[in-house]
Amino acid sequence: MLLRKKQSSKPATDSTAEMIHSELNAAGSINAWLNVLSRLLHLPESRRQAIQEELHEHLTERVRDLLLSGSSETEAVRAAIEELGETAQLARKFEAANRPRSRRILMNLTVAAITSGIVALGVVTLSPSTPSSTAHYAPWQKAEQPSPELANAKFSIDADQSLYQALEAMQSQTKLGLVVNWGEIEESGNNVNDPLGLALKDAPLATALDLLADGGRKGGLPLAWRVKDKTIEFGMKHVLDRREASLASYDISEVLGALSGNYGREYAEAVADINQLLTQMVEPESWRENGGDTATINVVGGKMFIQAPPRMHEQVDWILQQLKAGGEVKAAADDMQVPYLKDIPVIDPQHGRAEQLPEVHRTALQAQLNQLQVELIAAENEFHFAKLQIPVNSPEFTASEQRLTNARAQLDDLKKRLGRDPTAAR
Amino acid sequence: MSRAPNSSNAPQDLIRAAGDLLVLSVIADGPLYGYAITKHVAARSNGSIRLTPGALYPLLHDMEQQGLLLSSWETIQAPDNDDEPGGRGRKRKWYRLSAKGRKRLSQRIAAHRAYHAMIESFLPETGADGSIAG
Repeated sequence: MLLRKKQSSKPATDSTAEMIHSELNAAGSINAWLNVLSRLLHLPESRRQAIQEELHEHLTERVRDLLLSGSSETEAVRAAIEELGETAQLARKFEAANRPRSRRILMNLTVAAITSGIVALGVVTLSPSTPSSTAHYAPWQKAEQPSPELANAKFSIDADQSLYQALEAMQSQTKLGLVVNWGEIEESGNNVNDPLGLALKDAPLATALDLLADGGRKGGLPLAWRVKDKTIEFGMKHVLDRREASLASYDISEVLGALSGNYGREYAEAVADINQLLTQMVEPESWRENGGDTATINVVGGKMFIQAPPRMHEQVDWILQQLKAGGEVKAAADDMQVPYLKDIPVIDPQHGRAEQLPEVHRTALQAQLNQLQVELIAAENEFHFAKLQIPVNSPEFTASEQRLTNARAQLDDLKKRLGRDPTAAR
Repeated sequence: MSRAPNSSNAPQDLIRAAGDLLVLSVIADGPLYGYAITKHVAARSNGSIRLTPGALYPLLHDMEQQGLLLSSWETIQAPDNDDEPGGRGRKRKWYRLSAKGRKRLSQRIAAHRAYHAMIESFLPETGADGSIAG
């Protein structure tokens, strides 16, 4: 809503014009400060730029509010920047917050291990540094063939044994290597010293490991196991998954074409359909889009890029094959609701409905939009001060709130007609 | 100039400790961007709580790194940018709760209520003016 220059279609009011002029001058000061902050940030360029963009938006809005409340331009810029605190300190906070999560957990673990010595590492043999192509995964597909060392090994424990004792017993009974990061398991909220209540007598090793991963999860994050090179690795599911995650590209142009040709889906809708189908059908909790941290998905043009563990790639591949194969599954995808994807604000207006509007309507609507944006600024400002100065139960407060709601609703309605902002309904 | 009565006498350090709870709670109502979050928190606390942007934005980034929040960018075009190729739209970063964020919020709410109830059980009766009897 910041107006960078005077509108050509409709003249702004005098006070709005003054505000625009002040904001133009303020923009220079804001950019200068943001450049200083950026130089202090020891982060990748993309993150530095994202932080700059976000704070630019914050400062622009804040300065606009302060100008509307009667501050001079100099006062407004200074106050808005001061609210962010000391620049170097702010840079440190952003650096800490943007450090990758896994690295932070690793750092915490290291510190915990050094300082308290409570991290018990039951490492019997060292893990190979790279995952081998013969890795055997905990079965997603039951048809998967167990490796020979798993097929022949048997395992027994008593019900009063803990996860710690059970895995030690497994190592001594099977003579297989064992790699367990106990610190990581405890750090993730699992209690490794409680009795499991799991009694096994000559159980096949794969079954025993599944039961231990399931029963050993005492209130913490999910556990998993791998066997490779005659070594059992037992640990956090998300850690094992993340290590094995690989990037693959899928050609979805044919599927997109089918959804468009047979069902009239626009490009963005078809992409959303596929995206939703995969992130809901294939281990929903693992996708970053759903709050997980194991798998990510991105579509560019006719290519879909997925970073995920191998077993998820297999499932993705199967689903895409079904979409290509046709019929039932296509129709199912077409009927899908997209509850959370609809919440995402528009990223690329090029794919909005704006392109379909006749140009003459678009120009008229755009002029109306400009005017409504000015009115919304005024209503927002009025309500902002109503909140500070007028008792909440008073009719004046309600009227102010109503004016803001109306202004927003009008603007949202218009934006929707322009196809610029599909989230405007909120 | 009259101000709305302060509904909260909570000390600032308690509010600071509950910063993530406040932020998750306001975003639970629907997607918001940073400046809107500060406005929502101020409005809902009747002006008693002001989240400083210097604390808010790093907190948002931290919660995003933890997978509690998901974000996306909205490009806000200047009104008549279309006929000026050099014109640069501003970008607004929207945050919304992930499934993990919703779970965390419900855990934080339960923990907060349990803590509140536990402390409350220790407190003596107070008079209307806040004084302790006896």
